[in-house]
Amino acid sequence: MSIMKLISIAARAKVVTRRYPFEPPVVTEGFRGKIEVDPKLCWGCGVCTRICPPNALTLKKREDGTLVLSYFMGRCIFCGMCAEVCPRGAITVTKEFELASLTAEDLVRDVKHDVVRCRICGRVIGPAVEMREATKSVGGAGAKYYDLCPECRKLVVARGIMTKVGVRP
Amino acid sequence: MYLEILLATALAVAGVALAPIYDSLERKIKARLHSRVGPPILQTWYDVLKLLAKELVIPEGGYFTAAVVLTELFLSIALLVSVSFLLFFQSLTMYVLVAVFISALSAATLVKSVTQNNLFSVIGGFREYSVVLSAEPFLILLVLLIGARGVTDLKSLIGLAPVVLTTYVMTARIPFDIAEAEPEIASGIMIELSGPLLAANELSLLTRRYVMAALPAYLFLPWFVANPLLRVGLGLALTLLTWVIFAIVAVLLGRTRAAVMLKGTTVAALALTLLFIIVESVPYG
Amino acid sequence: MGERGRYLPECPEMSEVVRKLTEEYGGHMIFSRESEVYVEVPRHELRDVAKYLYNSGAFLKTCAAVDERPLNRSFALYHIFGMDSKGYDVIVKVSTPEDDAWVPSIVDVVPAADWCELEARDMIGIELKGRRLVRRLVLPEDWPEDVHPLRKEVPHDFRPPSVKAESEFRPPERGIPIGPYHPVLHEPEYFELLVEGETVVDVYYRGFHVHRGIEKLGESPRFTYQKIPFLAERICGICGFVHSTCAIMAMEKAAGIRPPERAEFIRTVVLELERIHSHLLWVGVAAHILGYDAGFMHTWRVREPVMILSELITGSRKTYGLNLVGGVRRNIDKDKMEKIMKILERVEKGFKELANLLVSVPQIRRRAQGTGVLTRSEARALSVVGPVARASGLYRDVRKDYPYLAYKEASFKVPLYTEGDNLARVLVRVEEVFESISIIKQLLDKLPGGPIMHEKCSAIIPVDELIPPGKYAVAAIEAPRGEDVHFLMTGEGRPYRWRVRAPTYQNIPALRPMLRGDPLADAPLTIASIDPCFSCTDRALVIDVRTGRARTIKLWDGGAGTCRL
Ligand code: SF4
Ligand code: SF4
Repeated sequence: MSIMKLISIAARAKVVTRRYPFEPPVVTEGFRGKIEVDPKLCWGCGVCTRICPPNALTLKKREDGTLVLSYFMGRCIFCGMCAEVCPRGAITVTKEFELASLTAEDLVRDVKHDVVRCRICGRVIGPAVEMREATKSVGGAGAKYYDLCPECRKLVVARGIMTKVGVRP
Repeated sequence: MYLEILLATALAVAGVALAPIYDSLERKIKARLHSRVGPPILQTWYDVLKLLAKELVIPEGGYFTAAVVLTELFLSIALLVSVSFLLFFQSLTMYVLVAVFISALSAATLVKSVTQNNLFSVIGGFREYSVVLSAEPFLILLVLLIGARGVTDLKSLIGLAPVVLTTYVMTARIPFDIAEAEPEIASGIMIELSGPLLAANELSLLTRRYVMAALPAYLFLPWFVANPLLRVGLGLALTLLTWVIFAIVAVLLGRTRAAVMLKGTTVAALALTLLFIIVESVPYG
Repeated sequence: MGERGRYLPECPEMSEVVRKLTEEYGGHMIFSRESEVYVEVPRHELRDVAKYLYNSGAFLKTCAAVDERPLNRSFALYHIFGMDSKGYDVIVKVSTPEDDAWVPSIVDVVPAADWCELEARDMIGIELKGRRLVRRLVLPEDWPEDVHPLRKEVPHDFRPPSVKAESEFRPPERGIPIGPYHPVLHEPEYFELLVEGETVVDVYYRGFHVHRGIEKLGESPRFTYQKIPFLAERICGICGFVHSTCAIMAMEKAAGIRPPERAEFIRTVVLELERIHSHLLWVGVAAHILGYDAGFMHTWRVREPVMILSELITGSRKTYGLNLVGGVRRNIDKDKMEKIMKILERVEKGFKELANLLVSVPQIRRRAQGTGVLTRSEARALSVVGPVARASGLYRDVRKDYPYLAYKEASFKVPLYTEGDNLARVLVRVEEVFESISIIKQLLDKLPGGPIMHEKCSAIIPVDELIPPGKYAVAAIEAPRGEDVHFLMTGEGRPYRWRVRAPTYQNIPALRPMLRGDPLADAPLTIASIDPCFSCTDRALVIDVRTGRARTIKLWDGGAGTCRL
């Protein structure tokens, strides 16, 4: 009887399921799991938050003057787009996917950034690391003004020039 | 006499304890044929105990359904006890008792399904009715025949065929599980049951399966094996063997449609039963 | 896209249709592309136009209503007719002024227009003239009367005030309910079967329980062209890649770019992988429904390597995230290619053995044969698609009729059966698995070199500038369940209107003729035999409570949303 073939099929196939979670899961080298943001590399520029399709990455300004890049795994679709666009290479895609948790807070990873405020008017200009690094690469005269917002900077520069040419502002 | 009573009682108790284990074994066999790891051997007991620990929800249909479910459990245990005694006491009364319990158990199942105020359950009930009708009359007839005449000769073993066929049908395994038919009528006759009641239902179904796996052996063994201890040993072994065979058959088949296969089953059961009667009534020599 | 001459460069029939529509019916051509022509006709001519197109062999793919008030103070309805045998679409537009918003219904001429017309009424608020039965399809009963979600003034995150509406669901006589939650329905949907004994005499359907407003979301500022492929992929958990590719094909058409050949090949390979996994999944479920769990488990055992393969190639078992406008994100290298070949070899062998086993199980054969019959004429009238059409002798396959991506490069058969029963639908799918395996092998053999992303596109470059507003595009793909259609009208940085018509949308109405007269026991199989995907369908259903018959069942007593198939 041809229905008996099942027995031979099963015998040849052997047992294919696993005693997961007591045995490791099958994960291929191509697999994309949750992401990790390296706080040392991240500048807080927010490019990743603009590409992230489900808004799992967000950039929030806190009251205390810090800027937070917040990653919520509960929304993440593990597409890896953020890692592809990050100019700093701060994001790595891991193979981790066992993220179940009893509280939503466990699924949030925050990267905090100090912000630079304008030394004259006190407005937030941007994340501190990014500003510092950017200034470093610009170097020279620019470094003098890195903690000024664009408006104040214009004023200061203008004033400097005027003083130089001997006009009283 | 006392030894026999003791042995029979022990057999019955063992049956209740073993049924869920054999069920786990069946699941294991099924899993192996599916190329799966499958559950541990005590899984069905874990399931039952877990269900027992849940809150009691009285189903649609009220306390009456609950009462019938429990009655069904008692009847299946009573059937198991009477069948166990069959191994040692071959009076016609014993056989009649077994027949009555078989019949009462089916009746309880039917009542259970129609008292639940649920369409799926009622459909399941009618399906159960047709399954029972295709096999039970023959099984009862065979039990009574064997009880009345005794099994006298090796050629009477032909009677095993209709007994095995009808007991298989009565276990409500695939292809005859149409009364539950999870994908079609959402567990049909059990749809309203949960928690402890579902546990009771499970236990009575498994006990019934144990009885049906034991019956072929228990009906014929006493006539061929004299030593009571040997009877017990063989009885247990053959029950397990039958259960395993039933389990494998169930994996190999799909579910039938009510009208189609039952007709075939009825005809086959009828033919085999008649064959047995004819063989039995032919005089020696 | 015509560079390679794939899309009928100069098609005399197409110009004949345009001539007819413009000269005889007073229409004017809006726009045309190799495989599409857009013609606006006066609304009083719509019925005649529909009749003419339908009689010349067109299938109605769907219709899409658009709120064009911000552009020209009117609503519009686009009927998408597919000339399958010729390989091009005729999109017929009718406009209606906002203060007199109605269009003539074409249901009596083209039965397949039933659902999409009602959806247009629900979502945009266009009245349908000349239609006997008008009822809510998509919107729930307690949705406010005057809010039409796809109108531009309705915000994408609009939530109506919740009303505690006691449903007056007290039918005088009860059918067998299947759903909204039922073991064979893996998603919430509602069927009600009227039975006599164990024979089904009638069927009612109510769907759209899982409408997620994806089309609206795609138009909202939340999304950009770059993100939409990921959203589209989530329309369906099984054929997600079909939706993302289809949406992207529409966007690429609108942008006038064509991805590099290698990217097209890779997309095609993944589309076929998806078909294999989908069909194997379905065959397994069908075996389970018939109580043959061994068939279920082993089919899925054979399928598992396909899932692992998908993960290896794309990064995910499902919702691959492989597609971007302009190309794909991951390449297939030598090593992966070899793995694909090896695994497909195994799948082919394993499934061949299983398929033989499956049809030898007596219960399967007996229960699948002769049940759920859909005749060819019913199939044609309802414009059913995919394996359902092909099992009823209707030769329809987008891969052949409107060759897209790399399908021209592979030779393959389209399995065709004429019985129209459940068994035929099983066999069509079984054979398609082998065809798909062969397609993948052929394509990998010929995989061209070169980049996998168009030079103007990447993950970082916003593609918004490439896709100018005010463009139209229709894209279609042969999904595992049949033809999937995406209609796109571009806006500023995101779609102005994005209409998705999944295959199941077209096939559900066919369940009624299939189920009637069959045993109840086989109803779940028949429902499953169209391989319904409610998530796809429910981005939008049906109507008419029969009157005047003793066996009438009224759900919600004639209320909105009640459906008769
Ligand atoms: S992770 Fe990268 S892209 Fe995102 S904020 Fe940090 S530096 Fe910018
Ligand atoms: S992996 Fe995708 S979804 Fe997750 S944070 Fe990155 S971009 Fe967002």
